[in-house]
Amino acid sequence: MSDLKRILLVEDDPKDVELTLTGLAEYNLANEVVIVRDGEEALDYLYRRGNHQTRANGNPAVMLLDLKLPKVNGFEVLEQVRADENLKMLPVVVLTSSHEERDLVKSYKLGVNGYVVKPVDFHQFVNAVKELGVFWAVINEPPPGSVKKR
Amino acid sequence: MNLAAQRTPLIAALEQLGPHDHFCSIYENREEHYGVAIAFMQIGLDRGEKCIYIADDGMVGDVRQAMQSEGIDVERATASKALVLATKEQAYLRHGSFNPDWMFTFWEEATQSAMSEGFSALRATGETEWVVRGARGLERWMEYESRLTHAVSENNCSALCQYNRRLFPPELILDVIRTHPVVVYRGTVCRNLYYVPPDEFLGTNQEEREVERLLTNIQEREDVEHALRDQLSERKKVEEALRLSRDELDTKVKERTAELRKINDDLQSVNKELEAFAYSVSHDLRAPLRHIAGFTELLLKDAEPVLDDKSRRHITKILQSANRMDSLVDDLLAFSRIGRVETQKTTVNLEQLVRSVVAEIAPDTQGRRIVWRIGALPICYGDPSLLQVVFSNLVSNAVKFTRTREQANIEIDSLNHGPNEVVVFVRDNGVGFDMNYKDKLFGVFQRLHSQDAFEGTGIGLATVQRIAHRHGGRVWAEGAIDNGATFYVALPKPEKRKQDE
Repeated sequence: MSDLKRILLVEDDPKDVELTLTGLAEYNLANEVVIVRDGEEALDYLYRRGNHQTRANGNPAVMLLDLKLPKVNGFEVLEQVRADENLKMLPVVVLTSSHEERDLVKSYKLGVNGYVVKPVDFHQFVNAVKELGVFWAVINEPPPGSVKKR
Repeated sequence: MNLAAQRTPLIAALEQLGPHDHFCSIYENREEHYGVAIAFMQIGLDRGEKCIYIADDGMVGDVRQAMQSEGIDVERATASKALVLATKEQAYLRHGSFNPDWMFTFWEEATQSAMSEGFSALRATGETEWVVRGARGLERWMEYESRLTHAVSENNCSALCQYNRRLFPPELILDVIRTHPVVVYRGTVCRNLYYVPPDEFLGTNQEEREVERLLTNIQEREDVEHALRDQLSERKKVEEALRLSRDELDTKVKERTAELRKINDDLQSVNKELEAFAYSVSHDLRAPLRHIAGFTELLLKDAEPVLDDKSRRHITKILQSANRMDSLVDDLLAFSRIGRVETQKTTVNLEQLVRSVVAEIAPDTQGRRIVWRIGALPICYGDPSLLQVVFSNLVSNAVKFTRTREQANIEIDSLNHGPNEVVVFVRDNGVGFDMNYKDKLFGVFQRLHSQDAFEGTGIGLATVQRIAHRHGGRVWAEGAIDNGATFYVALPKPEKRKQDE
């Protein structure tokens, strides 16, 4: 793996974070994951403000976004990202528990790049997270301005 | 302009008059004047009567022109002697002075001559402007008018006397009114209430008769008005009653509408609550399940070396339960969605739909011997994707519950069933069920078999029933233990929908 790109994981549930990281770790993809716990923090990270004021420049290669989040929910984050000149090309994948069609439709209307339902079955879950990680952090060529680690 | 087309009511009334009628036209302008006189002539010509028009001095040309502009072929009518345009000298004053007696003789002879010429009657009208200008013998003019009623009634003859109201003094017009049984005034043919018969008009003791007549008129008129007033108040009462009942109905409709709106609002808010509930189930109920399954897997992996068989079996059961709970949540959400989604109804070819359902299930039946028999299924009216769910459930149930049979027989056909609905059934030779529990079959999460014998959550038939109900249809089942089952679905016919709309 020559290029490993940064993944921003927006997830409020620590157990889900742990399971996701476990899934990614099995394939050595966990190193470049930044975890934020709500929509507000996700925006802080992207805009380099608040706790993330001092981080280095550059967008993540992908944002894995939960929909149901404290403070600012996933849709609101998505809406702001797509409205921002510097962020609107950022790849965003919704990672949620919900099969609800209206969530799916709303996400795509707001310009999401992918929509993944977290499976209850652990093997399926790990597999989904792994595939996501491999695709976005390794295979996919991100838009200009993304952070690359060599 | 066509007179007949323009003044139909007047012409229709004039057509009621004919031989033996003596009437006058009291006009105030040229339109009223010729409107009556020319129509009178026209009707006579159409009926084959001989028509005489006695015009005022210098007016013959004017009359001719008026007749022509109303479509009368004057040239031809005069040539055939059907129409005679005459002057007062040729009629009233043909002896130099006016004498009623001579005139009656004139009319009698003219009528007889017209009849001998082959006409059916004589019809005459005269302009009278010359009368106010005076001529010898005219002091007997009103006597002439009065007696003329009698004269025309004796002869096959009708007479229209024309009076220009602006020219004649009121006392003369008054006598004109008294001497004509019918008066045409402002486009209306009127039965004359003030007509006085000749013997009375010409007789002695006129004043006494006039008093009697006026008193009778006053009293009769009062009676008539009284009756009219009664009728009017009766009518007002009826109208009032009608208005009241209409208002009452209005209020009732408004009340009912408000009630329905409230029910609708309530339903909508219940629906919203349900939706919010389903939404939160979808998001929040799944996460703990995922965590139970996930961390149990991790535990199994990490503790593998130290676990004994019993513990491993327990852990496996935890995982199975989490997965089963996940299926139950999925099914419950899908079930609740059926109640919430809007149906998109159209005509549905059930045979096509059932065949595609069977084809879809076929890959799961490998290694099984199944004999399918699909009859000619009808067209119904419904939501294709929901009906797909109905038959997918029923057919896969049939496949599932015949699993213990060496050869499964599955039959899908329809019953001929009344004018409003179609009934389709799915019959199998599977394990069947106890008819005592037939009502439990369609309940949510109700199962008549153990999970070990036949897998499933018990939502399928509840879904089938819910979809049938959403279509205004029904479901029911027949079966016996170890002797197969038949599930019936009744759905509305396409024609039924048209009646409803």
